[in-house]
Amino acid sequence: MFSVEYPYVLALIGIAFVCLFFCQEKNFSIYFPHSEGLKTVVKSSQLLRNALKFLILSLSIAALSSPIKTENIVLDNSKGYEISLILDASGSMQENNKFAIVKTIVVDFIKQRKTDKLALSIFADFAYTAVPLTYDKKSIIKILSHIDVGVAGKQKTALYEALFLSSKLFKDSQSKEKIAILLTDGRNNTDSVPLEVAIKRAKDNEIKVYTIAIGNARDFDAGVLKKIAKDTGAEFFSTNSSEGIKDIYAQINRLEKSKININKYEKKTYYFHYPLSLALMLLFLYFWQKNTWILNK
Amino acid sequence: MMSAEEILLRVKKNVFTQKSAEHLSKMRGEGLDFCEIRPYQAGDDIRKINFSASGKTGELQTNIFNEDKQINVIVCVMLSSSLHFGSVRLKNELIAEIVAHLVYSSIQQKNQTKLVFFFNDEQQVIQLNNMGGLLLAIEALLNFDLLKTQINPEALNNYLLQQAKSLVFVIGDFYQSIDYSMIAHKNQINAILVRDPLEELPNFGTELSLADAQNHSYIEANFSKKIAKKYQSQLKVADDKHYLHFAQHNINVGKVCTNDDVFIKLSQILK
Repeated sequence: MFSVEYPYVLALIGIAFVCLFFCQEKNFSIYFPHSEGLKTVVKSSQLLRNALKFLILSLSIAALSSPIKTENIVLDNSKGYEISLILDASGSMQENNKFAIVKTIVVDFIKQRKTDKLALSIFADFAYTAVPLTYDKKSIIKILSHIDVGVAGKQKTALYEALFLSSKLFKDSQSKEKIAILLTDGRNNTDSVPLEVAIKRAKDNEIKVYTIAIGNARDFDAGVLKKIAKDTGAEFFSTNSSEGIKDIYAQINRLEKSKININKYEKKTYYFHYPLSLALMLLFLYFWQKNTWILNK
Repeated sequence: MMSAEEILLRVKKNVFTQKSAEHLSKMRGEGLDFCEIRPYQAGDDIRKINFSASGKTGELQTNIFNEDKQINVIVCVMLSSSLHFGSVRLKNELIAEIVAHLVYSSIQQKNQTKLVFFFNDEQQVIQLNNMGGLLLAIEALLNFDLLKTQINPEALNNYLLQQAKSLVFVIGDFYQSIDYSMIAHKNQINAILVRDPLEELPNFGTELSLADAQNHSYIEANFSKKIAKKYQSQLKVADDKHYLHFAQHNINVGKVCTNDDVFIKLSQILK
C-alpha cells in the first residue's frame, strides 16, 4: 500500500505557497523609469521562476514526508489457521433471503481472516468443494458471489457428506489449527455418508467443527449439530436473525484468533529519493537560469 | 554630478563661437543672413552697398539680408520621477545641460526667454534675462526632488495655449502620450527626448529589484539580455507612436542620451 510516513509534513506545502508571495527575498533595489512597461515583459519569466521555486519546495517537502510502499510479509504460513466454510445452499435457504444474508456475513468474515487459509464448500442435494484451501481471499469472495441457492440442487440437505468432504480438504494439511464452520437451516436427509463416519473423519484430521443452525428450531436437528460440535471440540450456535448470524461469526472469529502476527512483518520501500532527485534537478535548473551571467550578458 | 557653474561654463564654451541669426524670419532687414542682391533704391542703407557687384553691373547694387527678429522662446521641462535615473549621469543633470545650452543661446540672441518646469499639476515659470537667472534655474533643476513627481499631460497644453506664438522646446523622457496637435498649430515645437542607454536596454545581467519611484511598487526579476531586448522592442513601438504624432504635427524631434555630447546632439537636432 502506498502512503507517507509523516503526512503532517505535507502541510508545509501550503506554507510554502503563501511564502512564495509574502516572504520574498529582498534583492538589491534601484529606481527604474517606466517600470510599468517592464512589468509586462518580465511577467512570464517571473511566472516560470515562481513555478520552479514552488515545485522545488513542494518536492522537497514531499520527500521529507517520506513516501513509502508497505507490504505485509508473512514468514511462516503453516502456523496460521486453516478454515473451511461449509454453507447450506438448499432450497430452504432461499426463504427470507437467508442465503444472501449469510453470503454477506461470510464475506466480512473472510476479509477479517487475513493471514489464514480458507476453503469453501457448498451442499444441498450433494456436497462439493467450491474453493480448496487457499490464501487467495479475492477468489473465494468472487466465487461466493456467483454461488446461489440451487447450484447443488434444491430438494435435499447432504449435511454429513459436506462434513466428510470438507474434512478431506485438510488431508495434507500441516497446520495445527484446523477449523470448519458448518452453517445449515435444515437436517440431513441423504444417506450418502453416515454421521459417525463424517465425525470420525473430522476428528481424525483434528478439525474443530463449529456448527451454526439458522431459522426455525423445528427445521434443523440441534442434537446432531451439537454432537458434531462437541465431538470435534468446538461449539454449536443457533439463531433466527441476521444479527445473530453476524454475532456468531464474530464470536468464532474471536475464539479462533490467529496468532500469526508474530511471524508477520511490514516491508517498507522508501521512495523519498525520487521527489528529492527531481527537486535537486529543478534546483540546478533554477540556479542555472538565475546565475548564468554569460548567457545573460 | 556637475554643479550649475560647471554646466554654465561648458555651455559658454560651446556657444561662444556660435554665430547669431539662428532664428530666421522672412522679414527683410537687419541681420547677418544674406538673402539677395538687388539694385540700390532710395532709402537703402548705404553700408549694405555691394561694391564688387556694383562694379560688375555698372550700377549700384545692395545686399539684402533676412531680418533678425526677437522671438519668444519657451523651454518646457516635463519633470517626472522617471528622470531620477542614469547610468552615465542622471537624466535631470542632462536636462539641466540642455536647458543651459538653449537658454544661454536664446539670451545671447536677446530673445524673450522663459523656462517652465511642469510637475504634478503645477508649473513654475522662470523669466530669464541674464546669466545669473540661468545659473539659479540650473541649480533649481539639479536640486529638484523628482521622486513622487509625475506629469500632468494637460498642463503643457493649457499653459502654451495662453502664451503668444513662440519657439517651444519640450524636454522630457516622453513616456506619457501628450496630444500636441493644438499647440503645434500655433507654435514651432521642438521635442527633445532625454534617455539613458540602460533604461532603453535594461541588460543588468543579474537579479534585481526595480522600484517605481511614484508608487514604490517593485519588480523582481533576472534582467537578462533576452528580457532587455524584449523591453527595448516594446519601448521602440511606443516611441514610434510618439514620432508619428510629432511628424503629423510638424514637430521637430530628437533624442539626447546621457552619454551624448549635448552641444553636438542639439546642433544636429536643431539644424
